Amino acid sequence: MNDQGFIFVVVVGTVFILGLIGLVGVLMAVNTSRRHRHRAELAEMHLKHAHEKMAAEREAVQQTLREVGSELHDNVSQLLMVIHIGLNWGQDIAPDPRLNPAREALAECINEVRNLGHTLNMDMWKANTLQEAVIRLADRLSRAGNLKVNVVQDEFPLQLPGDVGTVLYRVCQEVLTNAIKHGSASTITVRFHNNPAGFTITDNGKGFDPTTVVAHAGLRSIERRCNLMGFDATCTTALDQGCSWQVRQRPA
Amino acid sequence: MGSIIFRFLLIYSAMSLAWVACWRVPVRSWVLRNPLLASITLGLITEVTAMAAVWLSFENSIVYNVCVPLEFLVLLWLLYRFKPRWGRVLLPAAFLGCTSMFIAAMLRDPTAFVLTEAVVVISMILTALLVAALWSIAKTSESPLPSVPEFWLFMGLLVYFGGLVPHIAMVRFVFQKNSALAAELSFIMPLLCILRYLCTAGACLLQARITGSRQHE
Repeated sequence: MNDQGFIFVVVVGTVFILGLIGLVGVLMAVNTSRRHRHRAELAEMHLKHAHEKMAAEREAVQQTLREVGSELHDNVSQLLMVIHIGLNWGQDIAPDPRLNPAREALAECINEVRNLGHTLNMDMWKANTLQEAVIRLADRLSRAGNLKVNVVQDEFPLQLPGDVGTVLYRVCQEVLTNAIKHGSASTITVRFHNNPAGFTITDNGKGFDPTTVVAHAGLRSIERRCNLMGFDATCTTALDQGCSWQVRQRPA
Repeated sequence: MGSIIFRFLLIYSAMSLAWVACWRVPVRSWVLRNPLLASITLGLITEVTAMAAVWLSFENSIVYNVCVPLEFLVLLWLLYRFKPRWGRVLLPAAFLGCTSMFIAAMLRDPTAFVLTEAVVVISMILTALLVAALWSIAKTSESPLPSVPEFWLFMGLLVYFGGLVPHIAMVRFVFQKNSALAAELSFIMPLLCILRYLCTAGACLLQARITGSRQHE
């Protein structure tokens, strides 16, 4: 094999092999880019699907709440009213003092059912803000026992759709009830904020060990409901250090 | 003679492996299965006939001159099955390849010489089409290229037909300068052929595995 011929063969062979390697490299790069694009498209599709699902679920929740609200207001409340009238019938003739506690309990029950019916009514949130509803709740709780509930508002009230307001109000109620019932809190602070939209509820109760109560149904339920409305709920707590719930709207 | 038999044996082994692997792919699971099997069978028949001709001391150029256009058409059929939309390009390509073969046969005796000019034209056409097929796979495949059977199949064919063009051109040039070197370079063709059929076998095994896992699901 002479030198010239050998060099020629080596050059041609090298060019061919380099050409093939280059082609494979280019193909790999094109394919990688294609797969990244495809993955992004899939993620976008899943996100869109999740949003649609969330919107459908919200619609269902809204519908259910509206129906339950009007059922409580129009039906259950009226039935209780009939019982109330029945109990008071002929009171002027012979009032029975033994029935007084039952009458009082029934009056309270009618009141509660009406309130519940109102809060479940989406239209109510058009006239009232979440802050106003929580302030009323805080007043009621503060009056009921040895408890101080502070509500701190941001400059502007939160503007939320009806169903979101209802669900967040229920979340507030549950968090406050938990703080009183399980945490034995004496002071609770509800702080509303606009950026990001949401609120923080802090109590000085017993708190709990999050590693042991991590899968508690009530906590999961709060997170799930907030999630459904496009909010993130996070609970920060430790034993004997109170509990703090942060509910924040997810960025769009 | 011994080295020739050894080379043929290596080629037969690679071809037989590819043939068995292709045969094992269920008929309906892969659109490329039948044209591919036809192509491997044709190649196997050609190599056996060529070897028999060498064995009986006959000139085997005619075997290759008949096989080349047939294999070209079978590969165009394979490409058509891969991308039926390419039909309008594949027909003129088939016409061009067959015409070049016909003209080369008119100019030189096909029973005495392998029609290398026509082989180069056909190889160039197939190289262009195979690069387009690989590009199309890279652009459309949602899985990594090494897990796509068609990628290995077309890559093997590209190595073979893409390698044929510089090899034939180089051998002819080197032959005029140094015939001993040209003879030494004769190992490249069987090497390319073995690479092609090993890639084909790999593609078929991959396809059989994919089909198996789909059926299992």
